[in-house]
Amino acid sequence: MHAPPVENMIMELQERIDGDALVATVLESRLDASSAPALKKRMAALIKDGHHRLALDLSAVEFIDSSGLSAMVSALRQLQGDGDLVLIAPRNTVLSMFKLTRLDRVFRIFPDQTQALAALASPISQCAPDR
Amino acid sequence: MRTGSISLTIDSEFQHVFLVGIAVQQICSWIPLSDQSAFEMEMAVVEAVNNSIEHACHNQSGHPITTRMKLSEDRIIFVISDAGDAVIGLPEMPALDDHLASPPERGRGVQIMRAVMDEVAYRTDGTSNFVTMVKYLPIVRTEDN
Repeated sequence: MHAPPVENMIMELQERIDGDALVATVLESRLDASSAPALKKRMAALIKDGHHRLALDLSAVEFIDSSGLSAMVSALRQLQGDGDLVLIAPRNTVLSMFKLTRLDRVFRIFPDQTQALAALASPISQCAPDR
Repeated sequence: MRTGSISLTIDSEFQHVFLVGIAVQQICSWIPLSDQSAFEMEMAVVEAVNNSIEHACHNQSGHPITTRMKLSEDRIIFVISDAGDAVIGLPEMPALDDHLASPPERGRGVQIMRAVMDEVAYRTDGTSNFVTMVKYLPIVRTEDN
């Protein structure tokens, strides 16, 4: 028997529009192979609908595996440089996985939504945070 | 420090993997490892179990995957086993900095396992496949009175 299809998977994601940016807050405590496909699918749909300035709030995420990382990389690749996906407030343990895989040098990561939205509103070259 | 071993078996579905991860994390916290190290042990074991589901069991349920965790004085050993298809072996660790401009979507699981564990090995005996991961524990010296 195959694993359940992605459309049957649940991803608790809270979304809000702020200017021309969309902030999506992951409400799942675990972003793993069970939940990440649904996040990947939702992010793909948002980008397809024209949301190209995205901020993903990870503050509630306690555990992430490579599937979770892959979902974010997939969204970034889908943007193809036309827009940006920034990350907000990962916990230290979660942030350590970005550092371990060097993805902290791929994504812009901010401590809070205010700074993330300010960065999204600015040209990318003017708002690179410390990585 | 007390020693012992435990085996946890789940069916080959991603939705069950978190149970193994939580058990590993809780046991590692008890040892005690730091929160960061316990997180890393959980991460590595979850990646190994995920790989079994995906590559050995081809995302099909109905195949038991067992995680054996053995705690000794100086190390903790994890053995993840399945009876699925064998793979050629664990890929070598790629250079992490090579793809920053266009990062690949997948392929980080083994990177993570190798990065956080002291030893990672894969073997198959023709019937079952085994991923063994070892983490050396800091030696705690007690003074003799």
